[in-house]
Amino acid sequence: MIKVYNLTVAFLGEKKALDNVSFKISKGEFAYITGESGAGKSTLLRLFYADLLPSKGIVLISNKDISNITKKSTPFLRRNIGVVFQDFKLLEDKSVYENIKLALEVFYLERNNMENRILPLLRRLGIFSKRNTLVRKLSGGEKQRVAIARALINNPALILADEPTGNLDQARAEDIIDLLYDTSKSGTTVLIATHDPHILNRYKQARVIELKNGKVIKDTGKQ
Amino acid sequence: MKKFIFLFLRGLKFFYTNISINIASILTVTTILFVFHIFLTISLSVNDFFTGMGNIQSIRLYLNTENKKEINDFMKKLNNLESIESTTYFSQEDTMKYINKSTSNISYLQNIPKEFYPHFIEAKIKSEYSNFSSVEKLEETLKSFNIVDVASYGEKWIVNFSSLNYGFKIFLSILTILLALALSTILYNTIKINLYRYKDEIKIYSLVGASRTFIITPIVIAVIIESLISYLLSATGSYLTFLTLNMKILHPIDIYFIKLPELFTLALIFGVLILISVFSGIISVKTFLNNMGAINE
Repeated sequence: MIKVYNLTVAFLGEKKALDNVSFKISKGEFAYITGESGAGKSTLLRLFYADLLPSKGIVLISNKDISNITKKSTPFLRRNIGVVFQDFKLLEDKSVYENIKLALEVFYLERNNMENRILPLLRRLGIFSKRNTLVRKLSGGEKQRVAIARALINNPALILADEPTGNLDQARAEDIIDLLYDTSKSGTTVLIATHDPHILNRYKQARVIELKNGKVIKDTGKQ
Repeated sequence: MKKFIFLFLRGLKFFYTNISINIASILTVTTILFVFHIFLTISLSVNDFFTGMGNIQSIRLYLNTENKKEINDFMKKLNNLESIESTTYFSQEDTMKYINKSTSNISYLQNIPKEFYPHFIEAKIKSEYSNFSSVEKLEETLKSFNIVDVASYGEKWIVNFSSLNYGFKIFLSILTILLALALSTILYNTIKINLYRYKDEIKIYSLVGASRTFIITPIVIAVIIESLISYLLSATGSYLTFLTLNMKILHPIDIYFIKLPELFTLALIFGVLILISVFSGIISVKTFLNNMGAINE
C-alpha cells in the first residue's frame, strides 16, 4: 500500500524533518508512527496525502509515485485517502451531516445517494442522533467521530490519523482507536501518528514505527 | 452536464450566501457601468452627428467665365462623371435672390448690385462618394478643368469635425480601458474577500479531493451573476435616462442629437464584461489557491 525509499524532507534553514526514511506498509495493515514532538510524524503523514513534497526519495501509494505529484493529480490521490486530525478540521458552523457531505460533493453525487451513504455510517459510528447538530455544539469525542466519518465516507484504501486522540480523555481516546482498528479489519490500511503510550499499548500486536530526529529508530514490522 | 448543473447551483448558493458583501461590489460595478453607458451613448451620438455633418452632399464650383455655352458644355461633362448625381447652375441673379431670401433681416444686402454676387455650379455628389477622401479626389479632377476657378465644399469644417470625432473615439477608448481595469480590480478583490471567508472550507474540500474546477467554477458563476445584475441595472438606468431626456426635453424642441445604443452594441459590452468577470474570477481563485498554504500547517 505504502512504500517509501530514502525519504528526506528538509525545510529551508532548518534541520531535516525526515532523514533517509524507508519502509513498506501492506494493504489492510494497522500501524502506529510514534516519536516525540518534532520527530517527523506529521511530516511523514503529510507526504502521504501530498500536503508536502519530499526533498529527496520516493513515495509510492498503491504503486503510484507521488514524490512529484502535480496539483492536477493531487485531488485524485486524496479521494482515496481519509485523513483525521487532532484539531478535527471540521466546519464548526455546519451540521454533522453537512460536514460529512462535503467529502461526497466532490464526486457530484445526488442528494439521495449521499443520504444513503451518510446515514448508515452515522449509525455505525454512534452519532446518528447528532446528524443535524452543529459541530460546535459537540463534545471532543463526538467531533472526532464526525472527522472519522468524513474520512471513511468514500471507503478509502488508506486512513491517516495525525494524533487523533490528542484532544480527548483516555476513555474516548481508546474508543476512537478501537473504531480505527475495526476499520482496518475490513481491508483499509490505517496509519496513526501518536506519542500517547496508552494508545500504543491498546493494540500491542500492531506495528510501530518510531521516529527520532527524522530517522526511523525502531520498526516492529521489519523482518 | 450533471456536473455543470451541480456547480451552477453551488455558484448560485455562493452568490446568495455572500449577498451582503456582494451588494457593495454590485453597486460599485453598476455605477462604473452606468458612467460608461452614459459616455458611450454621448459618444455614439456625437459620432452620428459628426458623421452626418461630415457627409459632403455637394461641391460648389466657382467659374472664371460667364459664357453660357462653355458653362453648359462643362455641366454636361460634369453630369458624365461617376460621382456626380446632378448639377445646377446659379447665375449672379439667382445668387442674389437666394441671399436676399435667406437673409431678409439684413436690409443693406439689397443695395448690393447683382454684379457683385458670384455665379457657380452646384454639383450634387452621389451618397456612396460623399466621404472625405472621395470628395478630395473629385476636387482634384474638377480643378483640372480650366473653367473652374475655385472648388469648395466646406473642407475646413469637415476636417475639424473629423478630428473632433477622432478625439472623442480616443477618449472613449481610454475610458473603456480604465473602466475595464477598475472592474477587474473590484471583481478580483471582492472574490478574494469571499475566498478568505471560506478559507477553511476550501482547505477541507481540497483535503477530500476537490479538483480546481470544483472550487473555481461556482465562484466564477457567482461573479457572472453579480456582473449580470450590475449590467442590467446600469444599462436599464442609462437607457431610461436618455429615453426620458429625449422624450421630455430634446424631441419637443426638435433636437434629435441623442442616439440610443443598438442591441448589438449592448450585447457586445455585456460579452466583454463577462470576459472580464471570468478572467478576474479565475485569476483571483488561482492566486488564492496557490498562496493558500498547506492543509495541516
